[in-house]
Amino acid sequence: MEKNNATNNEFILDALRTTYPKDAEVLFKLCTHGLQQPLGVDHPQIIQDLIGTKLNQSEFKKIQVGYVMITAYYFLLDAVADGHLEDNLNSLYLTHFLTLACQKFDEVIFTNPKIDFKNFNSTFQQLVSENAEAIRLENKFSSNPFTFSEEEEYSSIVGRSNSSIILLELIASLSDRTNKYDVKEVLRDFAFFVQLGDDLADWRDDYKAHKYSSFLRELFSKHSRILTENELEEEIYLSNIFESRALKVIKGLENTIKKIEAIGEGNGNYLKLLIQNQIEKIKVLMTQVIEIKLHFNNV
Amino acid sequence: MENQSNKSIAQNLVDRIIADNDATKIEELIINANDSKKKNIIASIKKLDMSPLSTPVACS
Repeated sequence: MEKNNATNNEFILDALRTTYPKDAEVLFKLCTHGLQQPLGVDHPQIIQDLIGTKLNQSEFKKIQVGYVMITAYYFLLDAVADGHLEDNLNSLYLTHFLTLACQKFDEVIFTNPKIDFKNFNSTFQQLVSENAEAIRLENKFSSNPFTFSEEEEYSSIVGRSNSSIILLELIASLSDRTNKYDVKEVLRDFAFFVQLGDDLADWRDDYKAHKYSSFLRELFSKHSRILTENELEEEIYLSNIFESRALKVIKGLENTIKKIEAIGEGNGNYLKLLIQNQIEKIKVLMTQVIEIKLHFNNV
Repeated sequence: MENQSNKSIAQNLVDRIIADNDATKIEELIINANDSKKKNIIASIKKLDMSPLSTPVACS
């Protein structure tokens, strides 16, 4: 695993060094986001496995580099639009990421006769617009902390993470898979429920940063006011809200597994395993929370 | 011993919550807790590592 991480890091860093020698180190840091490996580096493998295809190594590597760049671009764009950029000058790197992503995708698109590049470009542009719309929607939500609509929330969350759909469109075109609806639904649902889990885990940081997630807005709209941090603590930990929200994430992820299984036998084992591990971890956390409640109830 | 028993009760409760798709029964656990117990519950939950709720493959 460590060797894989090192290999993943090296070839992404090499691509950055070749293209942007002066900025490679800082760009790479933005790609990893403080984690061990670049964000999104595993996603091409997940998509391949979901649709049941295996690309040739050269195309696969180019797509990995392009996808890591587009993921970094999406993260940075989100932070710029959100006003939570660590360093304002980092917005300079949006162009670096987007151009390298397009360059790598073009290298695959123009050398593979299977791809209808006009069609792919039009889908790509549509997804970019959908992402912009999702960011606008999130901004609208932040300025109206008492509004809550699960349907709009879903659109906003999946639109903000639709780089995985761009990846799916690209890999599917290389593998002749015309019907992608079922896989898209899996990716969208997965992104949505993962985000709900993140919102529950990060509610305090989000609150302090005035970044009112769907979870917080749902609580504010219930009380028709912005609660204090202490009130939120009591509301979340002393009622059934924590457990109910964790349950919602578990049920959503379980349903995503069913959707993966419906794609086809043997498809999506990698993502299924990741989701199953995730569900187990959430169950352990729920058990710990309930155990604490039982303990203080008995003393 | 008590810890082990609480853990197993909590595990059963989680299984039931998931099977029934209903977490409302959890409220019963703290309905009689006094302020001091409530403070202790919050303080202990705050110490838990919530990162399992976040997924490393998250796209956003």
